[in-house]
Amino acid sequence: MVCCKVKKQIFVWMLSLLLLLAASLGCFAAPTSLDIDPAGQAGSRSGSFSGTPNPFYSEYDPDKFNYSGPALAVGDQTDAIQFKMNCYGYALRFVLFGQATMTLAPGGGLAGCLQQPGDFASAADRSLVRTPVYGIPADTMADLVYNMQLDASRLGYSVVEYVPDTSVVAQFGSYNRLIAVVAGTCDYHFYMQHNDGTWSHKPGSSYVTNLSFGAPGSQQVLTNSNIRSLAATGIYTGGCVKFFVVTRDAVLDHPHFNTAGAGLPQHLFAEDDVAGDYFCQAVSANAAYVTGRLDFSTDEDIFYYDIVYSGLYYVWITTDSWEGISCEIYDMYGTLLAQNSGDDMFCVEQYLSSGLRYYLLVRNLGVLTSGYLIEIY
Amino acid sequence: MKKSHIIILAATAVLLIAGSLAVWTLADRWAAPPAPIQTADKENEAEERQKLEQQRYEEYWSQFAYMLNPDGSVKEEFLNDYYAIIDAQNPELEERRQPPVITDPIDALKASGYIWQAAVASGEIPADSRRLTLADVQALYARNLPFQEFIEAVSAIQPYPDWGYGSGQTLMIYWLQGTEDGTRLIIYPFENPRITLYFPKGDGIESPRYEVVTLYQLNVRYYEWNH
Repeated sequence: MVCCKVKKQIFVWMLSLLLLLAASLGCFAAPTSLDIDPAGQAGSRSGSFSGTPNPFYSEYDPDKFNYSGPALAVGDQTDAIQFKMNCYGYALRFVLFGQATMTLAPGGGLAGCLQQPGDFASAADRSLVRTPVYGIPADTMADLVYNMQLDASRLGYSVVEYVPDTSVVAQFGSYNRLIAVVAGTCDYHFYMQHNDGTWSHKPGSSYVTNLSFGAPGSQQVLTNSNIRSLAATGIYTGGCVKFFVVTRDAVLDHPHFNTAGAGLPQHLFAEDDVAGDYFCQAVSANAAYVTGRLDFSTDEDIFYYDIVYSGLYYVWITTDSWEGISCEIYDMYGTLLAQNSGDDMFCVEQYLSSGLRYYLLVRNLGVLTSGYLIEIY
Repeated sequence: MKKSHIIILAATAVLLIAGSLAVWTLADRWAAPPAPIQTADKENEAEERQKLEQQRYEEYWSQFAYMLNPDGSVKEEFLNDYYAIIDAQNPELEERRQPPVITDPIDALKASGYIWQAAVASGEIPADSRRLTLADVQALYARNLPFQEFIEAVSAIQPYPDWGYGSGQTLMIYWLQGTEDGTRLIIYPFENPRITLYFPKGDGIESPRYEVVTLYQLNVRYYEWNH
């Protein structure tokens, strides 16, 4: 009996020791903080993930803008974003709604839509829009800024001049953005700052670039430390350079109808969604359904969901594009979890856990813009 | 279960919690290696190295002192050079620099807007082909042509503008031949369509650089020619 009792006590003590050992190991294994890669380098999408949505975030992403498809001809219509914005549209995120018609530019080049400061003024302010006077850069700048303010007033953002007090301009991009405006003797130009301290621009209907004007080889990557001296080069040499802090976000999905020349105010409220192209610019879609529109051929709309109840979720896609759209579900680390495929183009299913954030990326599979409806349950 | 067993299990649970807390507290300390003891020699060595690095840094930048004003700001004429040096210190920038997309010199001229030169270089037009003059512009304007026909008439004389495309607006610049001072005709065909003449004037900083004369604002003729 005694032996049996001792055995039992030994068994209980051993069990306790095992529990103690397991608990200790658990202590070592338990993470002390959520292991989030701030640079977003982990996972299948890199470089643009952030835990906190920031619509002012921007990165240099020329492939999204620069057209590489078949050669276009005069009169062609296109959804390529390169031809749906100029330097002003690029810096202030105005994208032409619908297709751009290619026109013959001087010397045989092709031009698309070039937004002008003042194009977006309200109907009441249209008569106030100034025709910039060229020849005196300071006067041209005053006219451009005046027109920019009219646009800002209608669209609800602010434009405040920033005068750098050092040779290197300050970094913005958390609560607002920094742009540079150059008034030359016969034209103007805009640049935009990115969150990594570099700058880029889009000359007319041409490519987006982060290089300064100049002959190939002599161009420099534009940065916070050289933008003051390199902004006014090329045909802008001797021009007036000013910097402005704008509260207009960096999200590309702000299209407008092209009514230039028709004497009608530009329409900018055709915004089916304001979901950006990057994880940083994702917008909340914590509802049963969300509608959106892919506004140019390389457009991507990203929504996020904060899941309350764990379970198997179905994402149903309805689109007016016969070419279809891609719908991808990512976790909060940027890892692709599920996507629609050839077998089932209209539904994605995935188990989602409560308390976690998931991202839904909608991508154009064709070259034409299209609307869509996403239902999740 | 006997009372003794319950006591043992309770004691074990207390031990378990205490043990876990102890392990939790000590985990960081165990995981991190103890800080190395800095000896006096090592401290001196680090200090010396820091001094040397500072000296090298100052020596490097002293060669560019001529670029700076007494207050430390960069002289206007050296801004480009100075910033290029600063950026050269940043190795990440080199990674972000894209290789030039355009390698063909003619395409490079076109991309830079030098359309006339590109047409000459490609052999489309001879280098000594007819170019627009101020007298041509004056004669065309006297014909009272509508806006679009005026542009076509200009193109018939000189098929390629000297410079074209623009950034904010689409524009075509013709440097008028025979005007040594750089008088130019600028056509804005699409955005706020207009045709202007630029007559050089001041330095453009303290005084207007050009007297700008608008010939056409779309089809409206704006100017009574008196030049």
